[in-house]
Amino acid sequence: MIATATLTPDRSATLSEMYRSIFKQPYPKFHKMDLLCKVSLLCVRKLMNETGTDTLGQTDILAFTKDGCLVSDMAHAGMITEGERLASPAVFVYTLPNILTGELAIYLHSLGATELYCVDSLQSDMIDKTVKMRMKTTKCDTMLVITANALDESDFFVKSQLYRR
Amino acid sequence: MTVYKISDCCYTPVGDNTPDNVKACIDGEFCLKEYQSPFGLTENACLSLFDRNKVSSDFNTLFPETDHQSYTFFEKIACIAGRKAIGDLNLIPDDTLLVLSTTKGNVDALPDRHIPLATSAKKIAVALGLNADNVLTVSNACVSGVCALTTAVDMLAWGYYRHALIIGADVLSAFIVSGFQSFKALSPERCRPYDTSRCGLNLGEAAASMVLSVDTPEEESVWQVSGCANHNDANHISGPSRTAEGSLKVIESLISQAGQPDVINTHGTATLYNDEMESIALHRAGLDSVPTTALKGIFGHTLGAAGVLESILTIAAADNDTILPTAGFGSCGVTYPVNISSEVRKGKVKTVFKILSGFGGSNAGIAFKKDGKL
Repeated sequence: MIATATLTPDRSATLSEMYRSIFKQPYPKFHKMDLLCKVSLLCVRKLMNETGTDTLGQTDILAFTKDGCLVSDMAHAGMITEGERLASPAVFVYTLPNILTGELAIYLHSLGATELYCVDSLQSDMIDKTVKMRMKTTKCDTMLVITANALDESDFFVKSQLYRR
Repeated sequence: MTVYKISDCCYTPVGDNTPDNVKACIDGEFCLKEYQSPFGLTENACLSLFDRNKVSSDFNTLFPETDHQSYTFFEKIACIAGRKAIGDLNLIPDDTLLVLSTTKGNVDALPDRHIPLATSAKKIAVALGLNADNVLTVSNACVSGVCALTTAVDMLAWGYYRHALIIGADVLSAFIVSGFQSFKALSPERCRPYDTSRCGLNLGEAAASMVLSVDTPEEESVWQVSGCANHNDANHISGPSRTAEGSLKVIESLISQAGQPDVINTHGTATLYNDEMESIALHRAGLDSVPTTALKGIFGHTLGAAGVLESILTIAAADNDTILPTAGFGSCGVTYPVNISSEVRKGKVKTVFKILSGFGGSNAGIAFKKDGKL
């Protein structure tokens, strides 16, 4: 592993404020994302800032989460409870947890592999085992590993780790 | 290390086991039908649904010792497919990995109850007598099934486990159907993959399971995994790439690992954009003339089950020198014609490619090769 960054709630800054301090260049897509994608992208950009890099090249992206996109799931479930004609494609698409890895691939312009795994805990031994296995099989020079859980703007945890083969 | 396919099971509304589902594909039998206001929704939808009572009864028969009330409908179909694939195999729990492939698992329990996907995976492992710590859950939208297979293959090939049970499963609910309706992605009638008049997909329920192992099977002729690939389009979270870049890279990677395929089973959802994109990928890879099949006209899009289900059926048909028909296909409606047919075809099939593409820009593929023992 060559770099790591974490992101947790900051009582003195909203997510929008975090975005403005972490992103030097505007990235308007950020504002359309759900919470899981937003906090994960912020954490990855933070990692890139800390390592002084603007590109990771072609990279495999692995994500591990426990509750996935529960915030979007609840939003879509709430909308259809009130009448399914209120269902919104813009919300529904984020009820797929792997949109997280898709958003990161788009941001990083990477055509590498993207995988999202659900685990019962962000401390699960399976994470370490899967990362080690993927490091042996990756065809890319780098691998980005995200462990993320996001339940609320005041209740989330993200760790991004950059590995080089 | 070589990874072999040891056994499998397809458990769908169409049939309880792999041979019955192969027969349904050949005979054109299906359970897709138009439901009026399914799950209390306003719009009608053409779906392939399990008989709930039959699933409960099958579960009680196969798991007489298990508290059936503590297992959800989703968990039950996964357990049933898993148990049927394991059969008499002696899978030592500490040597066996369970990979669950699902897009949404028990999402129908929301908003009252949130059941994390990994919680279901552990319950399924317990019911099957496997080690609940040796469990991974893949949730990569439509490509989940192939990613679950390739994850298991790599875990076995690198010596982390000797055996793996891969189960792909999804059930339908107001949550999922309303979301696809909001996308205007559903066909009001039975879907028509690659056809000129195709206008969208059907959703279907299914569970499919495969046992992979590094132990050499006893049979004379066995299938082994000969290629795995995964590439993102980095293009759009809900639309396929216009140039089919990710899918092309997957196919090219499979060719480089496994050689030319004799049959390709595609995603073939029968949406305008998916089938067009896949035809571009096949054309760019120079595989326009290779027999191509799509099975969504029998089962609908079975989400997390699709990659496992469609791999198994394509391979099982190949065992009888059969190339499955593409139900619903009439005349070619993609810019770059692919070698597809609504008829059963015969031919020697030794290498099969299964490819998928989906939301989140994901593309994945797996190659299987039939060979004498090494």
